[in-house]
Amino acid sequence: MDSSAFVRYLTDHAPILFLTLGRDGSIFRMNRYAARFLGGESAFRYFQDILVNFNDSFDMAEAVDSEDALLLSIASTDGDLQSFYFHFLTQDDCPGTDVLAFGHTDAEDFSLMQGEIVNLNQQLSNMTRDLQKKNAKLEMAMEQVRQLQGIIPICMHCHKIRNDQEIWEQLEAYLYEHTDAQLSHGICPDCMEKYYTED
Amino acid sequence: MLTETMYQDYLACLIKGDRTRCAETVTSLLDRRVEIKTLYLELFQKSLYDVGLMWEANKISVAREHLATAITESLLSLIYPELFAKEEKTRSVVISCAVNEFHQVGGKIVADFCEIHGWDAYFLGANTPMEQLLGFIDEVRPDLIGLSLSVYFNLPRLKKEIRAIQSNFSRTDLMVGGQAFALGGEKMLSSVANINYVPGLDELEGILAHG
Repeated sequence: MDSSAFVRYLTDHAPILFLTLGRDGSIFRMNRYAARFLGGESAFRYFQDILVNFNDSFDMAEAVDSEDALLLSIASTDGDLQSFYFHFLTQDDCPGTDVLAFGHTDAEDFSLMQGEIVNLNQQLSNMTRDLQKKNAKLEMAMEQVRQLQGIIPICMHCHKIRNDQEIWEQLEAYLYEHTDAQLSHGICPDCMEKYYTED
Repeated sequence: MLTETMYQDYLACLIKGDRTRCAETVTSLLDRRVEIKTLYLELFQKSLYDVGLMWEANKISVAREHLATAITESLLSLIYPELFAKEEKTRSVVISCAVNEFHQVGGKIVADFCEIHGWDAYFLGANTPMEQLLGFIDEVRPDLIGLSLSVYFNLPRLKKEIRAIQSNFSRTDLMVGGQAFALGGEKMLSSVANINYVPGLDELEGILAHG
């Protein structure tokens, strides 16, 4: 590949916008990448029209005189917004006093965003995991609460409880199975009097 | 039920960044009652290994590799309603990535795999500071601790972390695993006592069953 072919390849494939403009901003030509991004040379007549220019502050003459790169935002044909650093170069030695507008993205921006997106995605997916885990535990606790709600059949004499399998079990066993309560033996005053008071 | 054609289609979509299509594959397999274990082993783990190999062979960029990992992590959340069973779990495990280790998906898959096998698995994520890890272990008092390491250069930090855990929680079993060990890091483990090296999910199953 000779050097001119290499330059052509670069301007066609590198993610740079390369436009040839008139002094008033009218668009004459653009590279292949710009055409893909902007929808072709016929899509816009003036450079000013491709800008997302919220306060209408862009001035073509000032841009051409500026030695610094200007950060300008552009909407693609898909509606995606992207910011480019633009350098404007006058071609005084060329006929028609054309202006070359050369726009490139900020590689640091992309690197920063990529890192942050990976971080955020990790955090979000960890939070989702925690949330689902807590939700499962909560549902399990709710199920226990539901088991203790409603009407529980209890023997009026021995106070055994009839469980879901129609089996009568000791109150202590039922509580042990269906709650997290720990039972501790003691004697109430009435039973103390009934069973332990000497006549 | 997970055919080679389906897998290849999934892998192609993963590399293309087609998250929606990948999610459709996972959902369809869940609907067909494919075992969750199969999804972890034959879809998530396998595809991530393949993506890693493609990156190593310069067939895909690091950005695509990150994208594929990010998509996989988001797909794991589709499994969670099935994964976290509503039953009491008596054994618990804390899984964490070492300090300065920013690759977490392997560790997360291990944590999820522990859940599948009836363990209460806490996952602390990438680059967990050592104090935070020790504090959490102290709070939860797990039966098992797992450390994941993907990048070989982080081995010295992992070694430091292992020593800190062992001196604070000498009775708790400790396991390590991750791609860093596949690249020769296993030698480092020979200088550390009482540690289980787990090369893959198949070996992990054995530990979990006897734990």
